Amino acid sequence: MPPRLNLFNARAAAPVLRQQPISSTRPGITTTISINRPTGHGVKTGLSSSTPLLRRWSSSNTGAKDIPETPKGPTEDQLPHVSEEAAEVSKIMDKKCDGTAASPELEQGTPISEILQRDKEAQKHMPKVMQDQIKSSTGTRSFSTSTRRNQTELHDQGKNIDEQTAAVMASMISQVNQQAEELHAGIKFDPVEPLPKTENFRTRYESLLEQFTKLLMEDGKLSKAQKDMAFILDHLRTAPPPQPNPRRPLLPGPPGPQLPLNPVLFLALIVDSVAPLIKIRQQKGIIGGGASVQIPVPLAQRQRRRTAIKWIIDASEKRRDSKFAQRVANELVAVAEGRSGVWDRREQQHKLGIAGRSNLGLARR
Amino acid sequence: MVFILGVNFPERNLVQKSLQSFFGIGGVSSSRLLARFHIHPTCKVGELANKQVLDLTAALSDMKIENDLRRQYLDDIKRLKETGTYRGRRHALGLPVRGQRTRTQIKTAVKLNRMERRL
Amino acid sequence: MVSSFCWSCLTRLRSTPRAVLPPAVTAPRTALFHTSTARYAMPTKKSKSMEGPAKYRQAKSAKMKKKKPVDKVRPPPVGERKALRKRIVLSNPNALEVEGMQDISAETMVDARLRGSVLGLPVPMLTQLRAVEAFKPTQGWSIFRRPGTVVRRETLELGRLIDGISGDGQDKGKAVKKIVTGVRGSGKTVHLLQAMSMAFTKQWVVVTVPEPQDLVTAHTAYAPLSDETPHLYVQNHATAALLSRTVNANAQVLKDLKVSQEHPALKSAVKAGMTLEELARLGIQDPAIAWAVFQALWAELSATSAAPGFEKSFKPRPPMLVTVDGLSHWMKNSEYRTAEFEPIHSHDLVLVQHFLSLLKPGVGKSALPNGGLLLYSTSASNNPTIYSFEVALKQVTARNTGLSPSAAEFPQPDQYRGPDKRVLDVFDSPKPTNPKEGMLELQTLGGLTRDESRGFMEYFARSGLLREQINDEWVGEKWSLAGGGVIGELEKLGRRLRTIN
Repeated sequence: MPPRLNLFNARAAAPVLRQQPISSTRPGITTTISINRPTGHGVKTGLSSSTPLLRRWSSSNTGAKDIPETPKGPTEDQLPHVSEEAAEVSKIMDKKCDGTAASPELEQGTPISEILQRDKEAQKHMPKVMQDQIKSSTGTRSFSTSTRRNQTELHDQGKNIDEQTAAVMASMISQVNQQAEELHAGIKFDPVEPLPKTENFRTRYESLLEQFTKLLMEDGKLSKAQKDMAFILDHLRTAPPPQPNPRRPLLPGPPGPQLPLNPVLFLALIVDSVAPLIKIRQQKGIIGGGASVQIPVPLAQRQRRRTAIKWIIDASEKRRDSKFAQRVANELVAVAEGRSGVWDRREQQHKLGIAGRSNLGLARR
Repeated sequence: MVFILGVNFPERNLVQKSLQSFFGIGGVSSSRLLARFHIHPTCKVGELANKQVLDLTAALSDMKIENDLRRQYLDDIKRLKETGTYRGRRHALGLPVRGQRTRTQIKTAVKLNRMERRL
Repeated sequence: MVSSFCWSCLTRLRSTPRAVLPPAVTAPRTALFHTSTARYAMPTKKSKSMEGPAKYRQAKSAKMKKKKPVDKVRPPPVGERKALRKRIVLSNPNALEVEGMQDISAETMVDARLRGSVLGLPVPMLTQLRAVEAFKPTQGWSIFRRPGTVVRRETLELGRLIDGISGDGQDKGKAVKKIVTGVRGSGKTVHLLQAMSMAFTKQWVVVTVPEPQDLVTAHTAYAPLSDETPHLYVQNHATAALLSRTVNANAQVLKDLKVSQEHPALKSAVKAGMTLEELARLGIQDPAIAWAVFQALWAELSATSAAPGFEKSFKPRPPMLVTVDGLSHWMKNSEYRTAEFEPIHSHDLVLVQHFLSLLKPGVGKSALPNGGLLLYSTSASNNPTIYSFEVALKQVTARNTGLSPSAAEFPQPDQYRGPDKRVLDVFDSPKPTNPKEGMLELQTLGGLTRDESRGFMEYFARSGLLREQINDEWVGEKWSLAGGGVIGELEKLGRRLRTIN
């Protein structure tokens, strides 16, 4: 059966087409059809012989055979087929030729029988099978032009076979399972669960912890940063549970008195609660005059956390404790209780973002 | 405040550091002085017993330090100059004394080498 | 409309005198046609930016911005930072109280059923333990509700030993000497701590040297002992500190004991009927006589009977526990110098010498005549490598197995590695003649068993610090990860924080 013509697949058929014209002795579309049909791409060749696409292919063949010098067949001077035209138009208009098809003609293609009806010359050289079919048919097509339907039929046939084999297999498996079950009651082994992420020694810490530790690092001294992180977590563990500020609540989580028992969660809640949703980008040159415009830009989770951690560490600089880790730990508790200036910073950022919403349209242009 | 050889030192200062403030006493001689009177290296001036202070003062007064040592320095340079040695001449000219190159890098010699050397 | 003024009249109006007029704006004379632009132009400023090509004789260098003078913050007062560093926190109010946790007591310390569980340290005892500096700041006491230790096999043995020495059985008044070794994190210091807590429950006298390193790093005052022994040195302040530790921890016991010996060195200070606590306080008040006081105190504590004239107030002395944590610092030259600037060997410091001499069997009587326990541990974290000490420990093991020092298999030091004969001599103790005195032993601490590990990890879970389902499989995994149950590593795994999800 002729396959559904799809111009978008034409490129994939190129190697086949490149070989075919070499063997063809008679020029013209009819020959190409008759030769190419067994491969299932004949129609496509005949149709697209005038398209630039095919011209490219044939020009690549010129080294082997002088196709441009061959006299043109009677049908070759015709205007391009309607589907070709549609393709051209859609290519120009939609500029998304390699996406989904723009029109039904492109999707469905043209059945070969239509071409043969128009082209008497081609009918003569039709393969015998088709000629027989036309003779036997009395005006009506005995076959469907829809490849899809045929394919589903084929599929159905295959499915029938598949189903049969699958049923056999299933019965065999169930039989074996039954036997195994009779031998050992219950499942022999528990299903293997995937290891938690932190069991890998490279990612042994929670990702937030890792990020926080790296941001604590000064002068590349990771081991000191890890020590500091351990101190901070121990401080969160031992410090009295935070008195939440109703105006600046943490993200929903376990109640306050339980937080110190899970310092990683505590830390994550603190950081995520003050993490800003956006950043403000100063963009010049949108409105002209050299003035810059504030444009809010959304942040990914990791970026949000990074900003929040940076703020917390910045805010801890003002504290008077002699130890760096102690300063950061105190700042974290202050954030949890809503006393920290980091909250103001976040609100400020969001306010700016809301004010700059109108500039989003400018940025897009 | 504790007086060692007539100089007043605050009590929180290290003994070793205080001794090294005298001209002519560096790391080695201060350590040896401390060991001689059984003073541990991290001792503070305030922790010294009275006897140890007196001992230190006595030992320091026997040593050639401060102005005596400075005078000796200058006398040595003067002697070199007066006997007309090469080293004396170099001192007087403000050039390196011990055979260093003079094409470059003689800032220290220019700064320091002279007849009346600043000490 | 026509103006009422006549043009000709206007022209003849008198001009105002010049002085009355406001001063005319002096426009640049050059621009005669348009003065407005020049007049309203901003005064030209020197451009400060460095952009553009350099003008003639204009400096064009990237000048470093001068740093703002930082307002100097006063450093914290003297000793505050050290106090912060050495701070020991024993309680975390956020951690959950472990239900049914028992305390160390006379009954629980010998109860084999408690093996693998965590026994708490009784709260009243904590001040005593703090006084003898049994806790170290690096240990993780601060995350639990209250301090507790695991009962492992060695702990039970220790409990039985201490029970036996203070009991009425055949072990009564026995002196046991042990050197505790083991890999890093194997619980040597905590083993000493357990021994101390048991000794306190049994009303022993506990004498400890928590940081032997402090005696040899030349951080405390030293002086020659006397003119007769010019090579021996005494550390008065360190001795006073030792006395103060001992008195603070053992005040209850020492208050009941009275002076029972003659002390010729302290003739003026010691009065008859003085308690031992008062005696020791003499040394704390005046460090100059601290060493004499310590010797007197030791003589009193090791007295088995009263000297003539003191019989009426004599009470039998309790057994003693002597611990030293980190022995190898004492096996090399100290940082002190002689008057001739030669290094002083640690064994020439009388305090060190005193504690090391206890390892040798006593002359005539036992080294600890009233019985007791000598627990000297090595350290694995802050530890100088001393070849002679390693050989000496091997020799101790060999002697315990019954090898005679003349045997061929007896470990001998390599003479080319410069062994220190004094170190070898310290541990070269013959078999004690006194039946009450044990031979010097070497005890090596290894990992916990799996059951003990499980108990330990359950303690973490019940304190709310570990959110895992603790089963044998999980414990076995952690046991392997901890190098076969090394307790320090297990603790790290217990504290390790897992993901949120």
